[in-house]
Amino acid sequence: MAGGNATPEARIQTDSDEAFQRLLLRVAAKAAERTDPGSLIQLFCRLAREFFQCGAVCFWRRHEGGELVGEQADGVLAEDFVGLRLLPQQSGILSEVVRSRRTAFANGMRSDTFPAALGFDAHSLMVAPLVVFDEVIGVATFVHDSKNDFFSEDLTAKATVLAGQLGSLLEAARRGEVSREEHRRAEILAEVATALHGSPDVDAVTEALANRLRLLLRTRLVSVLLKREGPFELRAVSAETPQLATSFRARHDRQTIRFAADLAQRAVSAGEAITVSVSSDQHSLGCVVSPGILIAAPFGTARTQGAILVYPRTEGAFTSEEKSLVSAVAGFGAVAMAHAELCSTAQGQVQELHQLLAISAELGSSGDLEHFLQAFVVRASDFLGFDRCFVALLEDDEFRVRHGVVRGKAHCADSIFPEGVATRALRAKEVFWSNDVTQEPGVNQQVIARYEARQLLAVPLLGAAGTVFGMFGVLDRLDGTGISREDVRRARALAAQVSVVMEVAHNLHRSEHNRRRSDVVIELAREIDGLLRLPDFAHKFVERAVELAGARTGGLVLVQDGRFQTVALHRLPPSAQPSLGEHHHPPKISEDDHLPIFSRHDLGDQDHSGQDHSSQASRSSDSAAEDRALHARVEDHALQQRFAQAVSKLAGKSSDTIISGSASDLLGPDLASTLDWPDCVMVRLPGSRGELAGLLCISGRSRPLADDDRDLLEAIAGHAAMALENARLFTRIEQANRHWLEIFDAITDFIVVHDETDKVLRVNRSLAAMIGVAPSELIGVNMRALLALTSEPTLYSCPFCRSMGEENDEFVHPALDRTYLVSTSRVHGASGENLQTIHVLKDITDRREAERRYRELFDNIQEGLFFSTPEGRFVEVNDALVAMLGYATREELLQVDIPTQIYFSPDQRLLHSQAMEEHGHMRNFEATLRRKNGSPIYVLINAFGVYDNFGKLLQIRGLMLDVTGLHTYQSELHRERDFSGKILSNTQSLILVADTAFLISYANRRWYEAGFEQRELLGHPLLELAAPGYVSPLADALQTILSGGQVDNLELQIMRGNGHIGQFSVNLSPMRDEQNNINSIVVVMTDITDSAELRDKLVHAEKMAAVGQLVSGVAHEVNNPLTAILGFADLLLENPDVPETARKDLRVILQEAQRTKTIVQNLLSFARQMPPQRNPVQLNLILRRTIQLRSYDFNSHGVDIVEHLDEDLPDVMGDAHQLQQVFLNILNNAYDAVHEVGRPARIEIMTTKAGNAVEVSFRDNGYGISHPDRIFDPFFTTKEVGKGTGLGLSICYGIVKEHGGEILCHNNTDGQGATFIVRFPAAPHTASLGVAAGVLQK
Amino acid sequence: MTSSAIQQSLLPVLLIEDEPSIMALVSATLERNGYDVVCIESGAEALRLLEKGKFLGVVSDMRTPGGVDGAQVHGWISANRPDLVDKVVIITGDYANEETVSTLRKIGALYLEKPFRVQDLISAVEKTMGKAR
Repeated sequence: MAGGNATPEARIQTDSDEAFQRLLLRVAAKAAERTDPGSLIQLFCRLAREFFQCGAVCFWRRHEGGELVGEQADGVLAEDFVGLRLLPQQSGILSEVVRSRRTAFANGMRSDTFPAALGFDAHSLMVAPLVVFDEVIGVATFVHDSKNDFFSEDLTAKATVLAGQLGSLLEAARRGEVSREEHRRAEILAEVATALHGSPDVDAVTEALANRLRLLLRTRLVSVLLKREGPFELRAVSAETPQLATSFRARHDRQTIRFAADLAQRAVSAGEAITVSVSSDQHSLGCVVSPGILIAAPFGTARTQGAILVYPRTEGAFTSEEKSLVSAVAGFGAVAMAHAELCSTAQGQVQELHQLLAISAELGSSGDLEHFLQAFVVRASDFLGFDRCFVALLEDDEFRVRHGVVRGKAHCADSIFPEGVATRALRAKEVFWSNDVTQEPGVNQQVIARYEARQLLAVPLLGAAGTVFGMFGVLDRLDGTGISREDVRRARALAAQVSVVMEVAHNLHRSEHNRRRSDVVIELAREIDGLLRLPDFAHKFVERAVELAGARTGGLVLVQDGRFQTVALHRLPPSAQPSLGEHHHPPKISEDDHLPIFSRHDLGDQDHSGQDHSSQASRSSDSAAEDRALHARVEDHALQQRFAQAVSKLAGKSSDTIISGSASDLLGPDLASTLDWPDCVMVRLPGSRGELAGLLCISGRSRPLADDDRDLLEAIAGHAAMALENARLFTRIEQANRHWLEIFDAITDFIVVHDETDKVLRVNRSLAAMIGVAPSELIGVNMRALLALTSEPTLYSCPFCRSMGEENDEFVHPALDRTYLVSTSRVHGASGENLQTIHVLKDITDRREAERRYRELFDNIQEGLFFSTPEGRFVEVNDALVAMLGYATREELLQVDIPTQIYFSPDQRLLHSQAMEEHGHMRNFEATLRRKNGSPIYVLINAFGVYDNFGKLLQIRGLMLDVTGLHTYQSELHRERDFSGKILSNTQSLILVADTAFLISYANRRWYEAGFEQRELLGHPLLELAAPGYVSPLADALQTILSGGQVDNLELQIMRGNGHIGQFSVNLSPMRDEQNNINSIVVVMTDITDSAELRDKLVHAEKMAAVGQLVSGVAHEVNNPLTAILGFADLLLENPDVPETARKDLRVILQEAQRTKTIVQNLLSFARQMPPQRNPVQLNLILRRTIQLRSYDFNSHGVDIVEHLDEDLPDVMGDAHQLQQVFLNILNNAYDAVHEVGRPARIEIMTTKAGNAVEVSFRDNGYGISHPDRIFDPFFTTKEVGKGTGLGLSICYGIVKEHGGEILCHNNTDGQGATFIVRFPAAPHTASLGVAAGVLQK
Repeated sequence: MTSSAIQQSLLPVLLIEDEPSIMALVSATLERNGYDVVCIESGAEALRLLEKGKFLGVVSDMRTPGGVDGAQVHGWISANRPDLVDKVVIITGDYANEETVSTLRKIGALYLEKPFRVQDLISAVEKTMGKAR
């Protein structure tokens, strides 16, 4: 069939495919027309039925819980289908499709398997799911009512596609719908926001809230309830119709509002929107509101709580989104409400502020206090809304009521506001208020009754410094309500406002007052400043001060050169005696410091005029007063002195600037009455450096000093002090001028002053004297005339003006051959602009000469000279130093940094600096410096410091000597000496040098280490060193040396420094001088004491060993005959035939033979070579056991045993039994020695650790040992015959040797008895207790 | 008296000692105590006798001339006449010599140190060789 026409099925298929495409396009086009979902589904069903040519196409909508609801259908039974409900489990195929999300079909249906489908008369059935986002939203069923096998896989695929498309389109439509709704809401919300924010009024806000919410939620009724301080109230209603709103409001009786308020309270408590199901009997609104779900959403501001109640709507319940919407709108409402509240508060406050400002402006404009206070009470009662108002000022610590107002009518008042709770509060700067003063505890009931007061609100008036200066109070509110916090606040604000106004007035007054006073003071200053002479000044000053201070008389005491002096003193003028008729006003400064604005003097017209009068009066009587003052002047020196004394005493007592009191108290009654002073005010005049310059006293003031007066007096005193200082300075300047002239003439340098025309204005005496005329004769002479000094013609008329611009110049006087240093300066003359020229001529001839010599020396000397700074720079060097340090030029050397470039080591430089600091100079300091090429140069530095006036080092000046050659030689010498010295010090030999008289001149260090001291050696005869018996061999040897010989290995015994004798091998050699003469003898000694001792020991040991061998041999030989003797004697004694006499003899033989046997055995045990056992043993234990063995004997014979046993004694490796034998032997020996000697016997036993050895010593106080060197020889005994074999100690010797130890004995140096010493090497390890015990148990 | 006792009593003690006085003392002592004694001066001679003859036991000086000393005699006996090993008494005067002492300890023979007492000798011989009568 390839290439041929399509089969009929294929064509049908193709047609069908095209139809299907069209179908899809039509559905999509329908959807694009924004058709509502119902129409779309309707179209779908119809088109699908036509396309599939089946009986019916139904669309099931899937609801929550999986229930399918018939929505649209086309074809048979379409009407019945709509609204049909089917649970999935009722239809197997439907539930399968929903579960698998796949299209399925069933052909040839049977009633037993498809009961549900058969209801539609279906023969075959296809079911396609509408899947959107993996969820089945509905199902399309295709029913064929005649064919049993109508549906196929192909149709299934198409149905799937078709259902899928329908699903997508439905979803798109749904979303479009949702978004439209969202959009609507958003618009409303935006509108709500705008509407709410546009309304600054709470009512407008609530209305808007209700209206918008109703529209938003499409409900019939929304109400808003608000609660401020009381219960919830209905504030706004929005209803679908005005009739409904009216009806609602009308029905809003008490019960209804309670129901609504309950809901509002519940919402507020919940803090979020709540939903409540309501029925008509609950809300009591009857049929006005339909039953259903109601939303109550809370909202609130800081001041207000509120709730929005959205009543149920007929169109169905509110969704959760709508509920949140209500919450959101409530949020908007809260913000808007807060805004509106804030607005209204602000408006209220603005209004109040305006009122306050108006008041204060009004009050501020009234210039005088009475008007001000009057206006104030009227305004205050009006502003605060009270019936009555009064104001009181604090005068003499009482609140004096000045003005009052009753119901708008002002009146003056003058009474005291009674003290009580209210005033206490006011003084504490607190507001007092009471709604019923009669009930206040502690109030003055009489006063209250008099004023018929009920409510009282009293507020303090506070000054700038925070002090209370008055109060105002209001009585009884006009509206009859209680006094609220608001009232208190407003009253406070008013008080503050008034206070400020009053403060301003006060300050104005004060500044005016200050201005007046400063005028007075300035006038005083002007008057007295012109008076430079002190007495004039003093009187004038006293008069003015008296006048200014409102006093009538006074005096002035000045401190001059530390003494108090009265410079002016006045009595009280008789005509100035106080009289009531006299119209005399001292300048009044202030009456009341607290509230000057209330002083009558300032505010009352009368007082102003009074002051004018007073000043006029004082001016008109000026001359008269002056006369009086002159009369009153005290010229009595005695009285002046008394006054000065009294004042100085007073000044000494108190350091207060101002002291005031009665004159008799302060100055003493006598003086006071003499001067006729009633009172006295004393003011200290400060000097320029704060010291006491003087004291001003005034008297006759009519009233006590106020603070202002004090200020004034201080100011006066300040001016006086300054004027005084001026007067003094003036005197001093005059003196200084005189001095200066004297100095001018006293100066030996020539000084000449001339003007611009070179006319001499002044010359000093020396110049005039040099010229030979009087100074006055030279004045006016042209400087040219002074040319007589010089013969050379000059361009200048003044010979010294040549050096214009230079600081100084030298001028050589040709005739006198003297050099002058001219210094010139120009000054403007005191009289005006004339320029004066001053020349000072200093004779520097000698200095020049000195300089020349110095320079010559500096340049030509061969030693290096330098000036340097302490920081390390050369300031000046001479050529010798430049050459010495290898530099090319001075300039080059001046550039170097001394510490780093010249010194090799910073330490040396530091050392030098320190020397300079400490001593101010350096004497012969050696230093190694660096040449320019880096090579060292050894120099000797001598230097000194140049200091400024403060002792600061400015320069170091000095000289350097090149000692490099010397230094090299010295260091070699030093090295050699050092080398020899080291040899001498480090050699083990003792080296001496003696002169030809055999006196020691040198001893090397070994001597001192060997215990000699320098004073024992140097200068002492060499022969003194030799031990007795060795002097003459040494003397002989010395003689040999003197004759040119050499002596080697001379063995000498020398007394050591510690008194012991030592064995020395001595070499002596002569030492010759340059002329080959013997000038001293070198003695080199080697200590051979130790080796001599060693040699002796060796000899002894060898001897003992030889003896041992000998003994061993002899013993062996003796044994044979001895055996025979003993044996045959035994045999004979056994023989019964031997007679008794022979038997007796035989027994003697036997006995002696036995003795011989013992001797031989002992001999053999001495010579025995058998090694002893080796175990760690504790010698202390062995010693104690040994002592115990003999203790009986010792006790019974009165031998005292003293033990000094070292408890930390190390163990010894050895044979306990043998060691015991040794100790026993020595003890026995000692016992024998002490026993025989007859003095209180005593044996001391001591153990010690000596290095690596353990030492046991036995010291007795017996007769000593006659031959200590032989005592260990066998058979050597000092005991009487038969008492000892002479072998005991030899055996000990043998045993000790076998133990690797040694045994020694010597006679005690104190002459009594002998000491045996046994030494053993200590065991390498301290044996444990167990081991030691084990040994001892053996 | 049994025949064996008679026979035994007939066997002599071999005494090896070069010192005439000791030889005299030992033989006199043993004989007085009922033992027969054959005396020989040299160790080498003694070995020849021991090869041929029968002896009750051997008393030997430690140091004997002829190149064979008491220890060697004992050594020969223990090798060739083990029946006599326990019947050797050694006499020594050289007990100061460590070598001698250690040799004696090693061979384990009973020994007497010179000078010994007659009673010591008799005890030693009776202990090793039995009583003569």
